[in-house]
Amino acid sequence: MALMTGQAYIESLRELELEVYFMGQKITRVTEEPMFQPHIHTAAMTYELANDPEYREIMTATSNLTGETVNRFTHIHQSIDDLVKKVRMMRLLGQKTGTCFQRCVGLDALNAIYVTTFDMDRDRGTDYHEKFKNFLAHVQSKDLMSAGAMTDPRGDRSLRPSKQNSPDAYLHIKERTNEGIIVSGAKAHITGAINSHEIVVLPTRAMGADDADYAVSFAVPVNTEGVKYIFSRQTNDTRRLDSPLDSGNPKYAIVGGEAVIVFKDVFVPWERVFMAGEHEYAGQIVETFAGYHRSNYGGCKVGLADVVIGASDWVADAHGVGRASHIVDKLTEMISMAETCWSCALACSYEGAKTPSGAYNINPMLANVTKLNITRMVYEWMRIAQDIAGGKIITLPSEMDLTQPELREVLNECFRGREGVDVDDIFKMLRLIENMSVGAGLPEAMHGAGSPAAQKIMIARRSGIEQKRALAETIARIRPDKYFEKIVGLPETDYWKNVAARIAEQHHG
Amino acid sequence: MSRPALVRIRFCGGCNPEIDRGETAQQVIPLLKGRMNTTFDPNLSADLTLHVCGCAHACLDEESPSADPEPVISIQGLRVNREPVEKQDLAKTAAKALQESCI
Repeated sequence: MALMTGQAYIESLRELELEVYFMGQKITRVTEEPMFQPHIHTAAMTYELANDPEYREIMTATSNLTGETVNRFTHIHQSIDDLVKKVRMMRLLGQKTGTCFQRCVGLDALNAIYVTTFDMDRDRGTDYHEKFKNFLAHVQSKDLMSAGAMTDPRGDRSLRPSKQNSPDAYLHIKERTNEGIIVSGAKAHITGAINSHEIVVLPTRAMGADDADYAVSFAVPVNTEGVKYIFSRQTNDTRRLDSPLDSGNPKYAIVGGEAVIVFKDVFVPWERVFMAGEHEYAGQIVETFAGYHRSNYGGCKVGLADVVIGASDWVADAHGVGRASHIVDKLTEMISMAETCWSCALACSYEGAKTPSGAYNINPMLANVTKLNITRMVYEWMRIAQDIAGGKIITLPSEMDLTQPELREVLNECFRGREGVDVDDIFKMLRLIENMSVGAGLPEAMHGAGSPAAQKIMIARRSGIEQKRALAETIARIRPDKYFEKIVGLPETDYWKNVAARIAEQHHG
Repeated sequence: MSRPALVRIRFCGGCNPEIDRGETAQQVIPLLKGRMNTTFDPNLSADLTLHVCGCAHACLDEESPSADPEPVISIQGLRVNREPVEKQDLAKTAAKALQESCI
């Protein structure tokens, strides 16, 4: 099958009948729902750009399964070049949409399962990897969008999954049959869930032997019986029902359109099960996924930064202060932070490594550093965007007032900028900055792909602190330094004795 | 009687190593004694190569075109030829892989 276009992707969603709820209502037509449409447009961009020769190099890849050209969001990374192109794709899509384009979770889930099932089959004699490759071939050939579903509700965080009061605090296997498994529970904060074709489920944490039923990975079509979706609220979300101008980014919205997915006695046939009780591998699949996903944030959020930096410069210019030294300084600060994060994303790709499965993984230490920087720097560059944009971003009247002729004149006077700039454009740009810097995008940068504490745990675990101690001990003359001895041509003890003698002679001689 | 194979040992840059590369190489050399000779000289014509890289990235493995005679056995931090290995088994596993590649 050829790569889907953006419109073909939207068409493909129409035939899926999902059980979706939003604000107490059952939503019968997902693609017709104005609250969902901007998120669907954003996902459609990941399809549309794959068809444009200008972006094909980044947006597509050659499948290692079939040799066919596939959308990069369905590809298993086969080289360092693939890892680099992946983050370039993230930045590109951030630039084109100004928001989360939803598909990287599924991409990272596919890669994490590929890597981990290979190791499981090799060590345990299971056949998950072959099953997964069959599923992947299906995804690639149909050009499907997968929603990666990892985070469980988790209940009391001090208790392991098997010790929770409610078994549904973590998605789990209720029953095993000859034909498959039956699962129940939920997954929370799932990006792109209502406009995907497949849900790809992963465990959310490392598991012990008692938690074996919670060590489960599988894929189901989004419209599988027993699966329902509760779409999440976001800051100022219903503005898109009031006016395009007021919503800030009416084409593509903000963050990814998350949902809670409820699984009630859902049957999954064995050919779609990729882990069922192998608790020793839950930690590996989570860690592999998290590494991939954290590396992405140095791509996508930098793409968003490109947009908000451009918006900040535009607003300053529209108000006649574009060349003011403090504005230039602030914009430069924003650019510097964004490019720092971009450097991190490139570094964790270039420092990636081949896994036994043949797929390439990013450098996990650098990926965690990337995401930790994002949790801080997104807030900082958005703070500067607010600083440059001024208080108007939180006091603008609505589009409905602007359309009243008797109010329009005075509002034009209040909000006009320098000569030659259309006041409507000023409104549009200020609303865009409000959308990007005030709303749900900030905590998404904090908690998406794991909270800062999770990154710090990984960084500490991989820090090689003993090596750093040894370096310090060598310089501080606590450990022998063989190179110093070669340079001075003496054992260190003799050298320092000579130095001490020379000093004594100078002082007393 | 055929001569013992000559193994060229090369090190990565060691920018952020998980292991002591020099110590690891020194542990491999005696395990090859009598069956293989080793050299650190890049100008000598060798029969096979041992890469001693500090981390999984293994930049020597990415070298293109490769400057090394095949086969190449690669220590990649706590891995040998991509398979995870305990630190205490690194030298033994690498030596075994070198010997097997010569059979």
